[in-house]
Amino acid sequence: MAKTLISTAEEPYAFVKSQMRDKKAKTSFLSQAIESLGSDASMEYINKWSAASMYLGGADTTVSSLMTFFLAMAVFPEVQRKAQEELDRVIGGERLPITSDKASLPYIEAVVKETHRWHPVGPMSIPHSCTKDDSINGYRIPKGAMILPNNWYV
Amino acid sequence: MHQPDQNFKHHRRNIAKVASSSTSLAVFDRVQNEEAAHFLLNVMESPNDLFEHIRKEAGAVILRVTYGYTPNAKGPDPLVDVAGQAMAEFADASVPGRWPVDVMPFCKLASISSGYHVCSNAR
Repeated sequence: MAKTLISTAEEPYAFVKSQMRDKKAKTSFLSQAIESLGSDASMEYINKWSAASMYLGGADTTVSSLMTFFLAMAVFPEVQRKAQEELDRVIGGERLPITSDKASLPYIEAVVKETHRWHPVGPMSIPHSCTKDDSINGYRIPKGAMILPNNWYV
Repeated sequence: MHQPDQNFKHHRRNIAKVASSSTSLAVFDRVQNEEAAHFLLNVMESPNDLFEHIRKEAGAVILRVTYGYTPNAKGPDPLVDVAGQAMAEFADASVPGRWPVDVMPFCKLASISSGYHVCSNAR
């Protein structure tokens, strides 16, 4: 675990550093962070792990949502038909939809939101810790208690 | 897991700079549009590998945004694969009660005391 995690942070960081040295780096989250915060030892550590949490936070979560989307389209073909109808009507068959079409595709937008609600990526989030004493429905939740929220209920 | 200390603030500030508003995110629209097109081409070519193409698409978008690194459009890519492996291990490690050390804190000491069998995998 630790070894994989460390190479997930180190390998791409080394890539960006060497690209920047050769002045070949494309603008990215990490290249911007290095430029604005510098790369002395303490900042290097912070930048490296900010980037790694963005990378790990973005990689597997998107995969989960996309798989849920394909499942939903297979299970609810009538929704797929309506979505297809909207695309054909608004975009036509000549080009692919792009990000700026979002506002004119309300049904697609609703499908995306429903995908996230139907099968959230983190139904129980990740463990959080209570910052102060609290109570809910008569149950005491002491400061420091570990909380596992149920996102489906919210 | 991370505690809210000074470093945590730096991380938040770092990430807020690129991911806080629709204007700062719009820089990456092109990345998403291009990778969506790659994805569709891959699905047309080999629809049976759908899950593989999904992993590749998501990995490519976030790698380009975070590191400006463009992975191979086809076939395996070392950085996409290492993230997948890290997340699989994270998911495994973060299931509450999954490891003996969650209920038997003394397992943390197993490395010095050469260990009970029950503690293996605990760390």
